[in-house]
Order: sequence, then structure tokens, then C-alpha cells
Amino acid sequence: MKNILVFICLMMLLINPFIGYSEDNNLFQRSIRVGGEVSYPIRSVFMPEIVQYEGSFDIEFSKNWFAKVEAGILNVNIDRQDYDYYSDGWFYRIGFDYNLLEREDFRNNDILYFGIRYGYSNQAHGANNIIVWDGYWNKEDPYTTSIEKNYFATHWSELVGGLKTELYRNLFIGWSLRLRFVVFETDDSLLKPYVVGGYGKGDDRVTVDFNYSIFYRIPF
Amino acid sequence: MLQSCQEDLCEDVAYNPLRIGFYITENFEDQSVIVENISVKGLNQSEFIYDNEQAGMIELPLDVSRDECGFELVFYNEIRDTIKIEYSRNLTIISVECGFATFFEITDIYITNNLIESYSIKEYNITDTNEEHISFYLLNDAAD
Repeated sequence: MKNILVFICLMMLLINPFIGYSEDNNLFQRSIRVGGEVSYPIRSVFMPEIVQYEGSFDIEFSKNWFAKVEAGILNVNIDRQDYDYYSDGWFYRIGFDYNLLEREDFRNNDILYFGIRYGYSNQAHGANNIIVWDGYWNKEDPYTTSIEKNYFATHWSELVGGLKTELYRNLFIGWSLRLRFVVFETDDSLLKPYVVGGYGKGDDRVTVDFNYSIFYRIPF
Repeated sequence: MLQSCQEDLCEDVAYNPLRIGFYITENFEDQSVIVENISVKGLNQSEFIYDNEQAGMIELPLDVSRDECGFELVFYNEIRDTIKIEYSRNLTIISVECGFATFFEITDIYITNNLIESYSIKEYNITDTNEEHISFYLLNDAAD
């Protein structure tokens, strides 16, 4: 927690020259916003084998411009009769959002935004007791194999658009629609991840995702 | 019933055979042909994959436990050719329900030339698509 506070203070110091009250629009107020993604935990209720948590932090460094960091963890544990698969990893995304809504009231902090992200995920994964059928060669004695734990990295770019609405003073709920493209990934001929944290299905070069999040805004 | 449908779907996705199409070349043009009678079985196997059947394209299951396998093709009950395929294997998790499937990449192919005059590899990667991977060009006289 202490490290997070130090990080936030450092971020504010770094961008301090760029922020402040605009001379021509005093409705702009410095603020940071911390958030938590809620759709991943809801999904894991229906699919408990895939657990993902994600938090976010943003700061409005200039009127309508937000610098954003999103980070999270992924845990996959699938135990089936014909295979066991496991994956543990972490991910982050960094980028910017731009607010399209005109702020007409000092108390109105809703935003409709679009933005870009760079995403990175690193995960260790492997599989045991994999029974592979070919329907012909190994009928009597099905081929069983394992894939040892190895590390897999994925880099992607992302377009994002969404809305954040203030439910109560400084408490926001928001949704976002995200289009992601893999830019680079580990060249692994043995096994591709089933799920890449923060990205989506491992063997898809393009993914679309829809997220719900809650946020708390801290003006200063 | 849902369980049965799921199993069928998983089998379809997990089964990725090598697809070979038959052609003849006439007047410098390739024409697909239907072989009126063909039998196919794996080398050192007793079970037939095709047993006196008619086929314009055959689907051959590759051995998922090795990086090579071979097949014996008997055309019209008399002309025998043998093929050997070398490949690399790549396990891919299809879905939580279906588990793993093996994708292949053809690295080499060896054939005898009794009815098969030549071949061309159209697609090296054998995945879950339905495309033809190899074309076999048959001797015109024998294919008639």
C-alpha cells in the first residue's frame, strides 16, 4: 500500500508541470481516479476455472486528457478427465483517454471517452495428463503427454471507448468496449495460452471485450 | 443430447487429418479426378481407412504420438503406392470443454511413383480448416 502511495505521489510530481487550472476554463479540476474491474469476477462465478482481477488508475493531466494505467492478475486452473491445464500471470496496460463530453457544471464529472493502450502480459503455463486421440493410430493405447511449465509473453495494442457516470459524489460506474490486436508474442510451438491476462483468448490475433468497472475520483 | 452434441463438436475440432486431392494433367491443365476404387491403410496397421471406395480426396489421420507416419494406397485393387509424411506437432487447447487438439506442420513427404506421378504441397499447416494440403498428380493412363 505504501509503495502504491509513493508511486501515485511520484506520478503527480512528474506530470505536475502539465496540469493545473486552465485559464480559459476554470471547470477543470485536478483529480485522480482509482478503479476496479467488476465483470471479470462476475464471469468467474460462472466459470470458476478462470479467475482474473484488474485495477486501474488515471489522472486528468490536462483538460479532457487522462493518463491511464490498468493492471491485473490471471489464474487459470482447469482439471478435466483428459487434461489438466494451469496458468498464472500478470498484465498491465498503459495509455491515454480523451473525454468528448463538454463539462458544463463543476459538479458534473461524467466522461464519454475514447483512448489507446499498449498492453503486456506475462504468464507461466503448462499442462499435464493430456490424452490426445487421433482415432486410428493409438486406439488401443491413447497417447498421453505433458507440457512443462514455460513462460509466455504477449504485447498488444488496444482501442478503447466507453462511458463513466457519477453515481454518487466521486463514485463512478462505467463500461468500456475494447478492440485488441496482438503486436508480438513469444514464439512457442509447444503451447499457446488458453487465455492471456488482460487480452482474451490466446490463439485469437484480434479480440473484442466489454468491461464494467467502478471508480472513485479524488480531486485535489 | 447436449452432451452428445458437445462430444461430436469436440471430435470435429480435435480431428485434423491430412487432406490429399487427386489430379491429372491434360493439355498442361490440372483437372481434379475421382478415383473409382481406392483402399488406404496405415503402414503396419490392419484397419483400413478407405476400403474399396470412390474418392476425389482422402483424409488421412496422422499419428499424434510420432513425428512421421506412412500409408499404403491401393488403386483399383492392383496398383500400390506408399507415402511417408514427416511433420512437427503442435498441441493447442481448443476450449475448456474440448481440451487439446494437435495441429501439424508438414516438413517432408516421400512417395513411390507407381500411379502417383508427382505431388505438390499446397498448405504445410494442418489445422482445423477444411482445406486440401497436398495434391497428388496421377498418371493419366492408369487413372482412366
